[in-house]
Amino acid sequence: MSMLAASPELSFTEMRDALAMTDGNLTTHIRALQQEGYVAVAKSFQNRRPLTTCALTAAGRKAFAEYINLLEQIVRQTKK
Amino acid sequence: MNPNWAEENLQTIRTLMERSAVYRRALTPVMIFSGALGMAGALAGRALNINSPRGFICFWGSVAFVALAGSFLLIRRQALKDAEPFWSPPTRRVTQAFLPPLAAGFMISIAIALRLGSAQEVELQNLGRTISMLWLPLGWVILYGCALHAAGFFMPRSVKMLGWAFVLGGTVLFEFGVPTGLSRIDYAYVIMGFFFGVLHLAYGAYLYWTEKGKNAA
Repeated sequence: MSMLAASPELSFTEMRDALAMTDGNLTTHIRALQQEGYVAVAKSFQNRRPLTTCALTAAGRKAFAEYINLLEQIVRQTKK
Repeated sequence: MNPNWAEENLQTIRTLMERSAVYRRALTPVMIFSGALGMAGALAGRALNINSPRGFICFWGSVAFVALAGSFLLIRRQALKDAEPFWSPPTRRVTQAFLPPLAAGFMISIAIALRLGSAQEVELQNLGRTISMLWLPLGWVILYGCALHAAGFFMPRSVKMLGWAFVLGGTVLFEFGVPTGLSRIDYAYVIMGFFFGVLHLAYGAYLYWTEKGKNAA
């Protein structure tokens, strides 16, 4: 989610390589986020090769921003 | 372990989020509102028979003010609804991008309006009333296109394409004269109604249907 929040969209292979995950593992995570409506997956072709890209939906951006806010609140509380 | 590790990581995430944030706020309703206002303005201006360059500038300046105020309220309403700050970093970047071309258009229009006397000739270029009527809307179209293109770096990519449509359309129309059968003042209103009315409405409709498709997916 952090990676997707920092980019308009990312390809499946970019995320897999950056996160050092297997195809199956990453697919499971993306599917779960997609089912919640947080991630949109688009399939297309680039140079005749299939290309899968992911992007945060509006709901996903909002949910992630709320999550970050919550974490920041927790960190501030623990510092007091 | 660094005690500030969590805080620093969260700050990094937040900075990256804000930098990459594309301005998406209320673009569809703003475009539809502005388009409807542009069309209504073109029809109303013609019906009210506003023919002088000064009257044309004042009339469309008023329409632009209403469009800006309405857009501001739409954007603010959306920000409140989503519990987001109105003056967010993406909003600031878009405003900064819009300002120079819009300020140039505003100042040039004021300068022309102030220089017009009872003879209604454009003193700067000494070209006569009817020419200035045409150069005003085309100049506004081109400068507005530049503003859209500049703001498009922080907004959906299609905004840049809309900007190019304005710039190219306005530039090309400079080469052609008034179409036969149409008076200069009518043509000026047609230009304003088409670019600030029809094109905005079409773009708003495009945004509405593409966003609907994405949300459905």
